[in-house]
Amino acid sequence: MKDSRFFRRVVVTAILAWMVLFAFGPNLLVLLASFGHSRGAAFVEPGLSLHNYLRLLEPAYGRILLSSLWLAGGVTIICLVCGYPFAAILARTRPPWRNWLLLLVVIPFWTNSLVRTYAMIAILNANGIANRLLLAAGLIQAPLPMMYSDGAVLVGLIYALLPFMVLPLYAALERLDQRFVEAARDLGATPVKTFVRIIVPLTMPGIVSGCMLVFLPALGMFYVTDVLGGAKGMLLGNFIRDQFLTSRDWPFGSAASVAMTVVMGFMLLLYWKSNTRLSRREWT
Amino acid sequence: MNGSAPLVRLQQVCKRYGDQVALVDVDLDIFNGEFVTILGPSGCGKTTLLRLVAGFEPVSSGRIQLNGRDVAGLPPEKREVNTVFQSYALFPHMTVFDNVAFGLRMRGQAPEEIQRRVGDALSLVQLTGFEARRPHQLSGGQQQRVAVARAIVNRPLVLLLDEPLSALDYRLRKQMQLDLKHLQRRLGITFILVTHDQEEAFSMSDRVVVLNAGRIEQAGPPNEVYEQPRNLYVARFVGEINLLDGLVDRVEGERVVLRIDHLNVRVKSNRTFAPSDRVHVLLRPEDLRVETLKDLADNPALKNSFADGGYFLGTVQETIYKGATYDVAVLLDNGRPIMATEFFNAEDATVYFRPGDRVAVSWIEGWEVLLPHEG
Repeated sequence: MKDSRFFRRVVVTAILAWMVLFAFGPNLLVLLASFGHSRGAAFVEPGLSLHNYLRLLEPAYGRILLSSLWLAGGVTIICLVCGYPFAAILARTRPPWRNWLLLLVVIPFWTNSLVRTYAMIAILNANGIANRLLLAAGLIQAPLPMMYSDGAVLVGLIYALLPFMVLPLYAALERLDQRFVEAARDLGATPVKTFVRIIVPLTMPGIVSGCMLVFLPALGMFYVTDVLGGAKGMLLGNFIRDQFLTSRDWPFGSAASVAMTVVMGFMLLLYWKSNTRLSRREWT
Repeated sequence: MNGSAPLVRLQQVCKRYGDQVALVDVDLDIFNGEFVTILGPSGCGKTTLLRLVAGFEPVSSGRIQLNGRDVAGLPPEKREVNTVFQSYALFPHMTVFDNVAFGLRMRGQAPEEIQRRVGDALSLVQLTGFEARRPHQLSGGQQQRVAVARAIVNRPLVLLLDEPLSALDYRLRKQMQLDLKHLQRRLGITFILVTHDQEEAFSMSDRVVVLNAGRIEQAGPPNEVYEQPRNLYVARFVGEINLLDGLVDRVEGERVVLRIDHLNVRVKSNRTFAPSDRVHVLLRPEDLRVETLKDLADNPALKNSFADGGYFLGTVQETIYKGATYDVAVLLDNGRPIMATEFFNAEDATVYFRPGDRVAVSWIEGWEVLLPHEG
């Protein structure tokens, strides 16, 4: 009894120490740095000013922020539109087949996503698989320039993030009691109205968590733009990395990082709200 | 609609799931304003029957007509039937008002009309004032009433109820049985209720359909099903029975003389039997008469009230107190256990029989049911 309590205390303390040291601490440093100044040799000079945040609102930087949000939004919506039917089919499939389909969703996780992004080059190249297929099918006469465009970044992000949309949607749809769907149909709702009025609201926690899991990484996966978009596309993630590694303006990079965390926190709040509203449901 | 045409007609309806058979050749006519109960054990196909009528699943073969129209291929939203689900299936993200209004909105009713009809439906189930609540804020009984209101507000031709009371406790279930029956009388809507509870079936319905392994065993008014079960299965399912095996000795008009063990017993039957047919004699516990041999010796008049042909001897094993009645378990001398239900005397509320009492068991002639021997 005493031993197990001691063991538990050790484990909890260790985890807590780890979190403080490697999660809370660095974040606190970033937050402090974002209020500081950047001066020559010292990367960060402590201070208490908001000028880094104000700089974020300057048109040049604002544009990066907006285009990054725009791209992440697009990726999220396309993932949602593609992922929802897939998750719905997954949830309806009988267990032996369903497990195989789930495996197909999970398999890409076995390979590092940076490696997979490089693999995209083989598909999107001038003489890559996509172009050769289109040429062979006679749909195009000359290879399309697919690489190093916003489109390539979009495709790369969707490819990397689609499973993060499918899995929470699948969990929500699988949990959805089929009787609600039948009740709606019974009461005169067409399949479309049933979807809009019943299925979507009842799977909202899955939709929100899927969107979060796609939207947030889509802001920050800088290596996708690096590999597929050349230097043209700029994500918030690229911007933050450049501030730290290229411009050596740590306070400014910290401010951008904090801003991103705030967006994330806001979305978590939304998720929590939509979740608690539905989790209070109770039926026997 | 002409008066005699059935509102719901099932013809040769079969339903198979793979090689599993849920319903076999079901023929059933249900008329306007009827309260019909489908009674059967779990897995007998009764819920499947309801789902076929509602349109959630297609029939494998056969026809279902609704108001004279074949409904094959008609999706649930196009059928003028509504369902009260076993678990109610109230939409958890909507208020009581929105739940009840759902069907009307789907049919594009005007807002004032919706307001009025939802109000009427909620007052019918005594839930006025609960409009803004959400399902999880209601008790089981209240949720059940919302489910009923949500269905009847659409004024369906037929209301289908899938074990609507099974989740409620005993007292509430009794109350809701009465309420539902009154509601049905008041609205004049045809109800088809599915249950495994024979008491519920008998107390609520005009007609009971006993279903077993996908087949209709018997359909008829509750008293007919109870008093004249068509076979052993029905007899066993709709209450306690005692079973005696006999051999037809001779037939005298509508009376049959049976040989049961050492006794020759005269019984009535509207079935025809031939000499040396093997038969079952079915006796409900409340139809049995049990008298102690001592009383019988003291009062010869008692003996005359027994069925012609004598009585069986046995020993009381135990008595089981039931409140208004008590059961007497008797082991007959021929080795067969018998259960009889006795009422308390008006002046004496004590159990009359004691374990070990020697008793005579018989019944009032004409109260027995004769069935051909099964197996």
